[in-house]
Amino acid sequence: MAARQESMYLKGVKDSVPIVIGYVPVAIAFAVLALQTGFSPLQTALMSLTCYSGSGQFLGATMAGSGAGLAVVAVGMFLINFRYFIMSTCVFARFKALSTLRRVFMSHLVTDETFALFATNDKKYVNVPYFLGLFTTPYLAWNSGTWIGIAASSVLPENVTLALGIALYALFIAIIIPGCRADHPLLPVVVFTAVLGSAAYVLIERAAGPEYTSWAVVIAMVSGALLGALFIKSPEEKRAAAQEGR
Amino acid sequence: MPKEVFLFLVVIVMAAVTYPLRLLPATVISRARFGRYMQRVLYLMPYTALTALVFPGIFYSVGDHVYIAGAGTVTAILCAVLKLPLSATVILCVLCVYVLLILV
Repeated sequence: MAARQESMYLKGVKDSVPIVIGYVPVAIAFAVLALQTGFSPLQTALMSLTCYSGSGQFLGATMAGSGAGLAVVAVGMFLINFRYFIMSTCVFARFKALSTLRRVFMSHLVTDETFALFATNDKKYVNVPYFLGLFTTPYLAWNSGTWIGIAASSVLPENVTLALGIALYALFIAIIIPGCRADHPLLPVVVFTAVLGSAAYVLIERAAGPEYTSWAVVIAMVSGALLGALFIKSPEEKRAAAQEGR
Repeated sequence: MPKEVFLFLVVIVMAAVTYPLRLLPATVISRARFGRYMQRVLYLMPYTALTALVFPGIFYSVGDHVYIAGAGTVTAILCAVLKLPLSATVILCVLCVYVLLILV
């Protein structure tokens, strides 16, 4: 039993490697951005430990740097991280019995990438050792990357820190594109959201000022999802339809 | 409020909003029931959130070098369309931007 648990843990670690390789440069880029924005090294490291959300930390640091108030940061954070609510629901619905203490610690580790891997995996991988391997390794990588970024931000050549600025966006694109393939007709929704987001950004910047541009993200993500939901079926509906033999 | 205190509060607010979103479904709501329309919205939200973050933000992600950022965007999209692993997409995109920054 112990040997099986150990091999499950190691399998989880192994499966997390692509996520780890994606997280480290992004975490370095985040740390560089946060320090440039005015966060102290301690605050930057603390944010990675307690928030642990690539897009959330990126948005929070940008918003705070552009002079947004605490309430705006809180609303933005809620909207951008609300997806964890759904992802966490999916992840923990797969476990039958699990102590509350474990849920308290494990839930903090749910991210887009770990969720995507875990939720689509075979049932035999729904166990605590595998979960810990798959979910704690990226958490360590995210925080190590942050520390590397903090330590290296002053010695990194300017071109490297500039180039790292695009890392997180590249990761987002790598997550969005697979959803746009033929079996998930999300392309119109993604294009609509991108166009609306860009238009709203320019309009808000001209009309209200650069400190309000983060609202363009909120407007575009909510409008895109509300409109797209009128004609795009959720995976649950597709599964139900398939079970009815249609 | 001094900026240092404000930024510390930002860190706390970010964690205070984010953690419950992960914790509540894991503990209290074991199986949240949503209507059909809401299920669709929740399914789409991660994609629209990431898209709204990328566009137009990605074009301003390399300082003033909007065209280099555009080249990086094309690289990332191409990598993703060609089904390269997440890590390869990130590394190639950053590398492309870095090389262009040196050359231009």
